[in-house]
Amino acid sequence: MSTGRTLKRFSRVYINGYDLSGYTREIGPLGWTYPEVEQVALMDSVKGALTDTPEISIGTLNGLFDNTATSGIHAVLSGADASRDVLIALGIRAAPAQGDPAFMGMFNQAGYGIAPSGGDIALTIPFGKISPAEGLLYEKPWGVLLHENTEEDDANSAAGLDDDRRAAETSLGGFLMYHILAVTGTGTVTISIDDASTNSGGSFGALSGATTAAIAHTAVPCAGIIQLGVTATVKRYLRWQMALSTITACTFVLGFVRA
Amino acid sequence: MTLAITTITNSIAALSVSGLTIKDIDEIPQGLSDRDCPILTPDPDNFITGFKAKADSLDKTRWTVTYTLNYILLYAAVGSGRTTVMEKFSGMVSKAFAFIDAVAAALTLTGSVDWEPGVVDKFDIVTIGENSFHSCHVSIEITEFIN
Repeated sequence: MSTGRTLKRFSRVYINGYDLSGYTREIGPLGWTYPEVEQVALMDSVKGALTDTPEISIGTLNGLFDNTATSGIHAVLSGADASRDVLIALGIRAAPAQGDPAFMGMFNQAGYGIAPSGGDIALTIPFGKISPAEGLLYEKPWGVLLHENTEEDDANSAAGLDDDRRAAETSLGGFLMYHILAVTGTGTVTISIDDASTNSGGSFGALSGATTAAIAHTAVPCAGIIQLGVTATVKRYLRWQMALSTITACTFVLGFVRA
Repeated sequence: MTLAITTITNSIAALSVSGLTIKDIDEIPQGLSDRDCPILTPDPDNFITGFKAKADSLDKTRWTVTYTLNYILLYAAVGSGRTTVMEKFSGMVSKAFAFIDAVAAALTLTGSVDWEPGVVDKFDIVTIGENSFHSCHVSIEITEFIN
């Protein structure tokens, strides 16, 4: 994990368990806006905003048409009017790594448009807004990447990271988003999160509720959100965890939003 | 972040292109024989072009710097083939494009924040010492950040 400025070439887009970065020119704006109240009384000194009801959006995905079977963007997104699990990771002057910022949530795909663009066939895919009222318990879309898009073949015994650099645990829950891109072999895989008060490998234990439960190889690629209770305690340090049952390796992306 | 031209040229020299020796800016050859080829070396006449620094913040502590690095591909001595004088030309074109492929495929180019293949042009026969070589120019577009 690095800090500082970056460029859009280091962003990665994961939708429904597929890495669509290679088909994406740009995506955004990544919006998180609290709308203003419509009715303002004469005695109000300022126009306020509606707290707890933000509009969260990933804007529009502009991409390149490609009909590669199964994993190409046409195969994955050509059916509009569907809810998509989307995680956008922002790498800092390099491909995204553990600890880098990630924007995530469920978004309704509002269209799928193809048009000539110079010599290319360009794709325009608008996404709708989500709000906590539409099923997500949390009003925050920004979290961190706990596992970048790489393959793992064993459980994690390493130290983790301080995801929001606080000195203490939090008690407002959070949610994880997983994208399982591929597995080797047959069986099941379980993706989860460990937390700890001390950042050393042996101090970590399972974060209650932060687990996908066993996912069969037949379901991969797949993605989803697991929400903790809104008063769940999350210790200061986090790390990814994985359990394999006869599957020998798993390629996945994992993000977590701490509320 | 500070400008890192020597790190970048070192990263370019470390790119892997089968059968091509890529030189750093402190390795420009003084003399050359056919046995040294194919070789890609910084163009000492014209190494950096299009240099531009643009302030990104009000206080001018953050800048984006862009420029082009120019290299010469010296592929083979003229007439070093066994059939025709221009026998080696085709291989030179392929090697130049193999280098562009390597630049495009690089996941990192340490020292720079962005890089793109530039141009392949100026196909020529150049004389170094007593030998003439099939040559062309290739370039890389570089972006760096200051802070």
